[in-house]
Amino acid sequence: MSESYEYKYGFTTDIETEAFPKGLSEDIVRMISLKKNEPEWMLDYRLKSYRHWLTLTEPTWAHVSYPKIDFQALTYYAAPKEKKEKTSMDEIDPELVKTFERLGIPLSEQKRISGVAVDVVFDSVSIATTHHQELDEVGVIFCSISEALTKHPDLVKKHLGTVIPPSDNYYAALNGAVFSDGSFVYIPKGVRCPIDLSTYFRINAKETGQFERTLIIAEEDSFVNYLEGCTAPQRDENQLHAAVVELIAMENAEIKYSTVQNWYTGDKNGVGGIYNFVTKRGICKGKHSKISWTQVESGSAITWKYPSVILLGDYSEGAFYSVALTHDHMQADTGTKMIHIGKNTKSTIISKGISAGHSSNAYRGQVKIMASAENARNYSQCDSMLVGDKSSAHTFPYIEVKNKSATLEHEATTSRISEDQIFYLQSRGLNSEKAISMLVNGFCKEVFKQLPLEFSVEAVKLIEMKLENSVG
Amino acid sequence: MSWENTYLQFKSKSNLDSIAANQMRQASFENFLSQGLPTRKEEAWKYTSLTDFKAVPWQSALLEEEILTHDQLLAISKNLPAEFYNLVFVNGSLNQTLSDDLDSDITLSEIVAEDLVKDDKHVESYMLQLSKSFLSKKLIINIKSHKTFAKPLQIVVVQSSKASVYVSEKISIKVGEDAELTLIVNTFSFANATGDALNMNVDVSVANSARVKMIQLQNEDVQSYHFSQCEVNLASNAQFQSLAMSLGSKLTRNYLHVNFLGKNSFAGVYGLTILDSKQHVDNYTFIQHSIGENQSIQHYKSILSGASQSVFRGRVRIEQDAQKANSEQLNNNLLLTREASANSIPQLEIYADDVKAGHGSTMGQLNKDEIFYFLSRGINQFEAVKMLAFGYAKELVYKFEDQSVQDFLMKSLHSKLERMIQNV
Repeated sequence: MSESYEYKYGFTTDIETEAFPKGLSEDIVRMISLKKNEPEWMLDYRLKSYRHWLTLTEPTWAHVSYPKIDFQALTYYAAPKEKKEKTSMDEIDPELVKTFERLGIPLSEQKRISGVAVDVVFDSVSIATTHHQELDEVGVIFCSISEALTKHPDLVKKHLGTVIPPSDNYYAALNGAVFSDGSFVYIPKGVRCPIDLSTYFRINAKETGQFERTLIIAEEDSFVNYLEGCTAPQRDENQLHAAVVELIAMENAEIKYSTVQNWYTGDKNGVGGIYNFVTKRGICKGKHSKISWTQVESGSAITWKYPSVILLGDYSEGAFYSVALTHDHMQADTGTKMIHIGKNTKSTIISKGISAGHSSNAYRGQVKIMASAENARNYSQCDSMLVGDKSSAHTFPYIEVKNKSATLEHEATTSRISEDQIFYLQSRGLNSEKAISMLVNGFCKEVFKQLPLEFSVEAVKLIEMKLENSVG
Repeated sequence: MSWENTYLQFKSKSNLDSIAANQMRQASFENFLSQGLPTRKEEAWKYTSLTDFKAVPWQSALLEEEILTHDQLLAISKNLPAEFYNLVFVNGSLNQTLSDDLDSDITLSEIVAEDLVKDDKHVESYMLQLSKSFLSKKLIINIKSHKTFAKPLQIVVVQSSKASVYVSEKISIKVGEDAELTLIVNTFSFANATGDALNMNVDVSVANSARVKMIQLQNEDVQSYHFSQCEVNLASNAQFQSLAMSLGSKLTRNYLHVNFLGKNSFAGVYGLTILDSKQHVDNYTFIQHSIGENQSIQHYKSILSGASQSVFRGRVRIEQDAQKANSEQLNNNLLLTREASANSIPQLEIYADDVKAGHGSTMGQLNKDEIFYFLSRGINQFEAVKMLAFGYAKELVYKFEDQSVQDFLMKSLHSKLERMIQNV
C-alpha cells in the first residue's frame, strides 16, 4: 500500500484523562468497582471473574500470531477528566464533542439528521447517550451500563453473564473483571424500538485496554436494530480491546446487531494497531425469536471474534453475515457458532473474506445440532477472495450433527478476482482499481444488503478506501 | 498389562539384526511412553476418544500360535479372488500357504534404523510412535519404471487371536516412472471378547508419470481397533487414486497425507464409511499442494445407522508457491437413525492467490418422497432404504474402473448394507 493511504480516524484528542496505574490486581478491580459506585454483588462478580481469569491460560488455537501480551503493562481504566456530574449534553467537554464531530457523529441532538440514538464510549467510559426522551416514551432503556447498574440494578443482575459467563473464555473472564462501561438496552414487551440504537467506541488514551460490556434484552414481541462502530488513534504500540456482548431475545423478539469495525490496523509494516479479542453471543430464548449478527470487519491488527447464537427456543432463527477485509499485515480469525437446541430452528451463515497484501484471513465456525433439535436447518457459505500473492485465506468449519432430521449444507470457495472479469470491465472504460472495487462490492453484496442503509453506504466506501492502492 | 510389558514380550521374540535399529526402536518406544496416547483435548483427536483402547491389556502378536480353524481358513479364502495376486498376513506374519509366491517386485525385509526415526511434530505422532515401537519387518513393493504389475495386488491382513492382540504393520511402496499399480489392502479379523488392534503404516512414492490406485478395505470385527497412517508423495504427471472403505471395527482412525512435489499430477482421494451399532470412524486427510499446477479431489461419504459416529477432517493446504493449484473437497453424510451422529471439519489453508479451492459438506437423512416411491411399488421399507443407500454409496466404487476390483468392492458393500439394515 502506498504512502497516500491514510487512516482518517488516526488523530488523537488532546484531553485530560484520568487513568489508573498500570497493571492488573484485585486492588485495581476493587478500584474500578468503587470508582463506579457499584453495588456489592457487582464487585463480587468482578472478583470472581478475576480469580477465574488467573487460573486460565491464553488461548493459542486461533490462526494468528502475535507477541505475548503483557497484561501488567496495560491501564485498565481511563476516562476523560470530569469536574462535576454533568446534567445535560451541553456540559460535555467541547474537545470531546469536536472529536466526535470529526468522526462524523454529532452528539447534539438538534444537529442530527439520521434517526439514530447514539451511546458514545470514549476510552473506558460512556460519554453521552442521545435521544433519551423519545426512547423513554415507549419504555426503551438505552444507557451506559454504569448508569444501568445504578438505575436498573435488578435487570442487570438478572441477565449479566447469563449468556457469556465469566468462566466462558480467557478474554471473557478478563472483561468480567475489569469492564468499565458499555451499553445497556432493554426493550419492553411488545415494543418495536422506534429508532435505531447505536454505540460508538473510541480508544484514545495510550497503552489502555478497552473492555466494554454490552447487554441487550429484547422482551416478548419486541424488535431492535442496534449498530456499533469503532475507531482508534494511530499509535505505534498495540492496544487491546476485549469486549463482551450479550444478547437475549425472548419469545417472538428480534434483535439485529450490526457492526462496522474500523479500529486502527497498524501501519503498512504491521506496527501498532488494535488487538480485537471479542466475545459476542446471543441467545434465542423464546419461541420464534430471531437474532442476526452483521459485521464488516475492516480494522484491527488482529481480530479474534466469533459472534454466536444459541438457538434454544423452538422455531428460533439465527443469522450471521460477515465481510472481513484484511490488508497489509492484518490477521483475522473470525466466524460464528450456531448451537441448535430447540426444534425447527434455522440458521444462516454468509461469510466473505477478502485478504490483500501480506494479511491472513480465516473463517472459523461451528454449527452444532444437538439431539433435541428436531428438523434443524443450516446453510453456510464461506467465500474467500485473495488479492495479491502474499496474502492467505483459510476456512475452518466445524459441523457436528447429533440428530438425523437435520439438514445442513456448507460450502466454501477460495479464488482470486477473475482476470476475465477485470478485463471485461476495463474494456468498458473502467480503470483497474474501479473494476476491482466493483467486483469486490459484488462479492460482498449479500452481506451489505443486510446492513441499515447509512451503514451499508459507509461499508461500501470503507472497503473501497481500504482496497485503494493495495491492488494493481 | 501395561505397554512396557507388551513391549518386553515383543522385544524378546523380535530382536533386530542391526544394533542401530534396535536402539532406534527402543527410542521410538520411549518416545511413545513419554507422549502417551492423545486425549480429546488435542485438536486432532477432538471427536475420537481412545479411553476404551487404553483400557485393553494388549498383548504382542508374536506370543500367539498361528493356528487357523477350518472356518477361518474358509472365510479367508473367500477373500482371495483368483483375479488378484494375494499376500496374506496372519497376526503380523506372512502366511506362505495362503499367499501366492512372492513376486520379484515384492520383498519382505527387516526394518532398518532409518524407518524408525522419531517425528514428534507429526500430527499423527502418537500413533506413529506406537507403530514404530512394535515393528520388526516391512513389506516393500518396488515396481520398476515402465512396468505394470500383472494383476491387482491384494494384501490381506488377518487377525485371529484368542484375545486382544496388538499388531503394527508397515508397507513401503515405490512405483517407478511410468509404472502402474493397483493395490488393495484388505484388513479383517475374527471375533473375540475384547477385539484386536491393528496399526498400519503405509508410505507410497509415485514417480513421474506413474499411476497408483490404492484401496484400504477395512472390515474388522466390531470389537477391534484400526489405525492407519498413510504418506503419499507424488512427482510430476503422476496419478494417484485412493479409497478408504471403512465397514468394520469399533474404532477406526485413518490418517492420509498426500503431498504434491511435482507438477501436473492428480490425486483423487475418496472415502466410504458405512457404520452401525456403536462404530466410530475418524478420517483425517491432509492434502498438501507444495508445488503448483496440480489437481486434487476429495470425496468422503458416510452412511450412519445405530449409534454410530463419523468424523471427517479434511485439510487442504496450498503453499505460497503452489500457484494454479486446483482443489475440491466434498463430504456427504447420510444419517439413518436417531442416535447416529456426524462431524465434519473441512479446512482450507490457502497461501497462494491464483488457485481454485472449494469445499462442501452436507448432512441429511433419506428423502421421504423417495422411500414413499418405493413403498407405493410394493417394495418394503428395508429394501427401499437398502437400495437408496446402495445408490448413494456406489458412486465411489465406480471410481475404480477395473471390473474385478469393482466386483470385489460391491460384494463387501452389499454384505455390509445387508447387515446394517437389520439395525435401522
